[in-house]
Amino acid sequence: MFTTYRLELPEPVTLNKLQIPVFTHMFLQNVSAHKVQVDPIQGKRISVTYLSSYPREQIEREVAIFLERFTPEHDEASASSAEILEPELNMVELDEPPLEKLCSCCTPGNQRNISDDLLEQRWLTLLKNQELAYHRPIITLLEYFDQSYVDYVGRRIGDCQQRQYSVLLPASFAEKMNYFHSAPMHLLLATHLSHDHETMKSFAADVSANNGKLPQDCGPYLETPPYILQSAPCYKVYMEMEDQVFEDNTAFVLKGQSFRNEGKRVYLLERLLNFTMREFVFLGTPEYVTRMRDLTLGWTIEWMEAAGLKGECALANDPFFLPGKVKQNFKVPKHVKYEVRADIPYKNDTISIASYDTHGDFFAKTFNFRLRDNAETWSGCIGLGLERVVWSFLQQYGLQSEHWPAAIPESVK
Amino acid sequence: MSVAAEPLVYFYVPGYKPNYIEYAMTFYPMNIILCLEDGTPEEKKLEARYVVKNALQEFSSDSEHTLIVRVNSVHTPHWEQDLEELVPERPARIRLPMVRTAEDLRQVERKVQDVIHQRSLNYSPSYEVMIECCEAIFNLGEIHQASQNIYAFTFGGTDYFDDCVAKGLVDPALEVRKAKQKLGEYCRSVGLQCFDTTYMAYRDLEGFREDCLLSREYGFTGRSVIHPDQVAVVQDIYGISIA
Ligand SMILES: [Zn+2]
Repeated sequence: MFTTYRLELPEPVTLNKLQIPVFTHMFLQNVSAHKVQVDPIQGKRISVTYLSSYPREQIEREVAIFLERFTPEHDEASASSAEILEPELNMVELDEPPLEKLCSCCTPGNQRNISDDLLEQRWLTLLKNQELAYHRPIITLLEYFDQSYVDYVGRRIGDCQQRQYSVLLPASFAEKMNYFHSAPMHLLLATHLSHDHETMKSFAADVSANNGKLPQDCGPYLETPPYILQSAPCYKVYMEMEDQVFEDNTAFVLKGQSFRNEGKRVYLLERLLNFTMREFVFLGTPEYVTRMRDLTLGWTIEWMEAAGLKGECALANDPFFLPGKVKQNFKVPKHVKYEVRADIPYKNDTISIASYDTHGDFFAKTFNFRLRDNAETWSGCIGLGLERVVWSFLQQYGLQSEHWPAAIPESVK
Repeated sequence: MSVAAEPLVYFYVPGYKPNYIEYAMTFYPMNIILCLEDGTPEEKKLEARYVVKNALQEFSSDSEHTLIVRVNSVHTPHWEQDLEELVPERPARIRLPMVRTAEDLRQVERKVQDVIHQRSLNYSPSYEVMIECCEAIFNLGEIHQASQNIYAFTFGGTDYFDDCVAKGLVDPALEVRKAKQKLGEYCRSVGLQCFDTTYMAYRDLEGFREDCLLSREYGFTGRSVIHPDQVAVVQDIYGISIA
C-alpha cells in the first residue's frame, strides 16, 4: 500500500534536531507524501513514504521542487534573514534551550482525522464565510487548557502582572515598530467612515443604490485606518511600557485575541483568522529574558506531558516582530524564535501550538522603556494558541472522553 | 525473505533497542545485523531475543533489507536458546561469533537442524562465520570444510586483539593485521565473501577510510559498520573491485 524511498538533502542543508519538525511540516504541506522522516543522527538523510498508487515520478518531482525552494539560495526565510543581517543589527549568539528536555513523549491513542466527527457531533458548527461556532465541549476544553496552563506555568514564574487589553492596536504605535513592513499579507485593518458629513451622506446614498451592499470601492469614504487588529496580544504591554523606567525584571500574563489574515488557508481550529492566545511577557535583563525562555519552554513541555499531549520543541524561522528594515542599532539573538509543536497523528505532522520569541532590545529601544540600573533591557514572550491546543489534543485522543488521558479532570469530560 | 541488499555494508544494531532497529530499517536499505551478542548486555539477553523476534516477524516481507541475526557464541550459556527462538523466524543469515574449531560450527548446525525438524520448518540457513581468535585462523581450512552453508567469513578485530593480549603476544596489532591478511587471502583463493570488522572510532572517518583501503587489499569484500557516517565510506571503497 505504501512505498518508501530515501534521499540525501542537497548541500549545504543539514537539519539539527530543532529544525526537523519544521522541515517535516513544510515538506508535508508541499509534497503528496504520507510520511517523511529525517535521520536524527546526521540530519542529512530523509525517508519518504507515499501511497503506492501515486506515481513515483510525480512524488520525486514534488520533492525536488520543494528541496530546491528549501535550500538557502532560494529560501524566502533566509532571504529575509539576509535582510535582517544588515549592519545595524547586532547579532547575539545565545545558548540553545536545553534540548534534551524539550520533548513530550506521550502515546496518543487516536490516528484518525477528527474533523468530520467534530462537525457531526456538533462540537463545532460551520457558519457562512468560514466562520465557526464553538459548542460546549470545545468551550470547556479551551477554558480548561487555558486555566491549567496558567496554573502550571504561571505558578512557577511567580509574581505576574495581569493585564487585559482590547484587540485594537493604534496604527501610529504599529508604525513606530515598522510593523507594516514585516508581514503585510497577514494584516487586518480596522477603520471607519470619514467624519465629514458630506462623505457620510454620499456613502449612505451609494449603499441604497446598491441594494444595501457595500460600495464596490469603499476607499473614498474611509479614513486611513487608525487601528490594526493585533497579531499578538503582547504588543499592548510594550505600548503600556512606553517611556517607562522600571525597577526589576517583570513578568506579565494576559489572554487576548490574535488576528492573522490567513485567506483561503483557514481550516477549522488548526488555522483561524482570529484565535485566542495566552501569553507571558518578560521584561528585564538579557539573562532574565533568556532564562525565562529556557524555563517556560521546559514548563510548557512538562505541562503537555502532564496533559498527555505529544510534541517537541523546534527552531522556527519567522520571528513575528522583526521588520524588514531596521533603523536603529538593535541587539537581537541569532535564533529569535523557538516553537513548541504538537503532533497531528493522522497526517504524521506537527503544528506549532506555542512559541517563545526573544526580542533582544528591539521593543525596549523602540518604545524607550528600561530597567533603572541597567544599561541593557530586553523583552521576550511566550504565547500559547489555545484553539490549536484543543485541536491537537482532540487529534491525538479523539472525541470519546473515556479515551482521554487520566490527567483530564472529570469536570472537563 | 528476499535477499536484495548489496553484500557490502553490514549495519550493526543492538538487539534490545527497538528504536535503533527502526532507525536502521527506516534510513538504511541494506544488511542489518540484529545483535544478541556483544551489542546486548548480559541482563538484556531475554529482552533482546524478544525484540529481535518481533523485528523479524514485522519485516518478514520487507524486500529492501537483509536481516541477519548475530547469536551468542557456543562458548556462552545463551546460544541454544537464541537458536531455538530465532531459527523459526527464518533470518536471512545467522552470524556466528567466536567459532574456534570445526566442531563449534558443527554443533551449531546440528542444533539448527534440530529446531528445523522439530518445527518442520521450510528453511535452509546460511552462516557468516566469525573468526576472532588465533586458533580459528589456524583451523580455517577445517572450519570451512565443516559446513556446506557458509555464506561468508567475517573478522572480529576486537576479540582477536584481546586474544593476542591474553596469549602474551608481543605485538597484538601486528597479529591482527597478519590474521586479516591470512583470512582475506584464504577467502579470495576459495572465492568466498569476507567481511571486515567494525571500526569503533566512528568520528575518525579518515582513519576509517584508510583502514578500509587496506582491508580491501587484503581481500575483504565488505564491512560491518556501527554508525551511519561509515556507510558511505564502505560503499565507496568496497563497491569498487580491485581485481
Ligand atoms: Zn508575544
